[in-house]
Amino acid sequence: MYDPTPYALEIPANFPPMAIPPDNPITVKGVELGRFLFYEERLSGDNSLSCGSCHSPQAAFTDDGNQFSTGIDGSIGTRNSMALINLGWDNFYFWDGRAATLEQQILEPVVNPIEMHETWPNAAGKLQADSAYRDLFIEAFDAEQIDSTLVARAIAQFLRTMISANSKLDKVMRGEAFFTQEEQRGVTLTQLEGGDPDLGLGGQSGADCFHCHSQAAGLFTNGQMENNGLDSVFTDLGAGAVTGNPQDNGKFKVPTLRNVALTAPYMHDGRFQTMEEVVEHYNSGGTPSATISPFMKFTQGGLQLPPSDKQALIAFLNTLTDMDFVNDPRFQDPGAP
Amino acid sequence: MDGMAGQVRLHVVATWEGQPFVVSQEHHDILNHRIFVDGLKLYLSDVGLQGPSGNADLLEIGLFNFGNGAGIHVTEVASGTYSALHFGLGVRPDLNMSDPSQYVAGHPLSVSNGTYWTWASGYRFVMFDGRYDTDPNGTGTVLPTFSIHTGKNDCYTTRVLQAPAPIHVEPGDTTEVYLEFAVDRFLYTATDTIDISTENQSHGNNLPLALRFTDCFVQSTSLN
Repeated sequence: MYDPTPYALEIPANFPPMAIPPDNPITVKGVELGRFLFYEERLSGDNSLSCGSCHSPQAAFTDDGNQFSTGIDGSIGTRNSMALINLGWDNFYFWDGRAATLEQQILEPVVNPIEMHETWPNAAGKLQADSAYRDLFIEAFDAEQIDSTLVARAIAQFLRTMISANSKLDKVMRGEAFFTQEEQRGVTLTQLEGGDPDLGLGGQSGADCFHCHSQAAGLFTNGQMENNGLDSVFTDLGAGAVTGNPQDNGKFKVPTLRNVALTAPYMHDGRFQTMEEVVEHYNSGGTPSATISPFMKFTQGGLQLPPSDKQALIAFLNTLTDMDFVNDPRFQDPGAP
Repeated sequence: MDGMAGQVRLHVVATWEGQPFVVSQEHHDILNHRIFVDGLKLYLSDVGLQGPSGNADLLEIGLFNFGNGAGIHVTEVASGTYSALHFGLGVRPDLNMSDPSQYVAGHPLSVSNGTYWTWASGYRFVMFDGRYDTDPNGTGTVLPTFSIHTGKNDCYTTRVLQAPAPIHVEPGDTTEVYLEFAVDRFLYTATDTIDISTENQSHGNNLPLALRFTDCFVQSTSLN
């Protein structure tokens, strides 16, 4: 029987309201169904891969340290599996931003030939043949006919409940914990401009993180596309391949820093294995190009952070780890419906 | 629409030497530097018409991204005759000090716009980013960058622009109003010139420079 009981989404006090599509309100039954579907391997062509295969809770909802993910046919992807954290506040999805909504994003991996390589009619048909799923779709959507739109809506509902807001940093913000001196130094560095103060350009000898990884409202991303100076020649055009605008070449989604210590490797192509490598990339100033973010101001000479400051940044990044989120029973594989 | 009301379509447009401004096109500034403006966003607060018929509010707060083309805001106002447009460049102080977590995505003040300065507990007012080349005959596009962001309440500036002709808002009709930012004038005024090759970073910790930029931005405006 259809049960539209609303899901009691707990938005952290310092987070913005979540923009939930009017045509897909979050319900208890929708989330329950979405969780089953997230871990449902029958959505793939050979019934071997689910969303959770490349976004595993054991790896903080990434692909277990792999640079690229392997599809059902053995095909290797070209971008690193993104961590699933606080997705309900994102403006767009995929590294190149090609999906405007979670519902759109979810449709793609199922049919992508290098990922789950299935057709939606087949996938929906497999679910339709399962009486447990037939009941779950009736309960969630009052729908007897299962289709891709409803599958995407259910998974999107589930993903919107995956909220991380209980890291050490969150506890400090709530007055429940204290930073060490090194962590506090790291926090301070993220909020300071880079560059030598004596040059008269407003430099503060900081790490200049805040432009892109804004702490505002707890999200640690500015919600934009940026070219962070990885390459001078782009083998992956990123957003430029989506928009067709050369000025978007080399730009990728700015990910949240939450759980960054658990989600190696880093960057859209997983080129950096450690946080130390990432910090050193920014300390070096990055590689100039025609589309490099103006926030990468020190391609000549770099930030010149001393080793102690680089270590302090790592200490700060570690405070964003939220094991309660990763281990939350509500987000684990529920088994078969 | 109310029988005594008309519609006003406020167009917030950017130009370069009178032509429509397009991001990332090559231009030359007043010091003959090559300049590529890759990003231009700005906030306007308390935009309204004023004149013999009184005041008409058009917009409390808006974020205009010229990388996405001109911004258009449509409002219903009392019919009548207006002679000027007033606005604040930036985020009005009470809104600037408000809690950013209260705004949902899509709101001009949402943090998802990437315009909030956590360290300053306020918003960037104008974000003017790009690349420059001191060689006016250069051909390269991999160039040093500039990033001019104004903010903080000290930079909030109000202005009243007189209309070149009376603005008549007729009942049931739509009136077009154009607020223009001349981007070519973002680096100079009648009394000041900013050399982008040496003064190319402003992120709130150099108030005198931010105020000079603010003066340029405000003085670049006109009403058409």
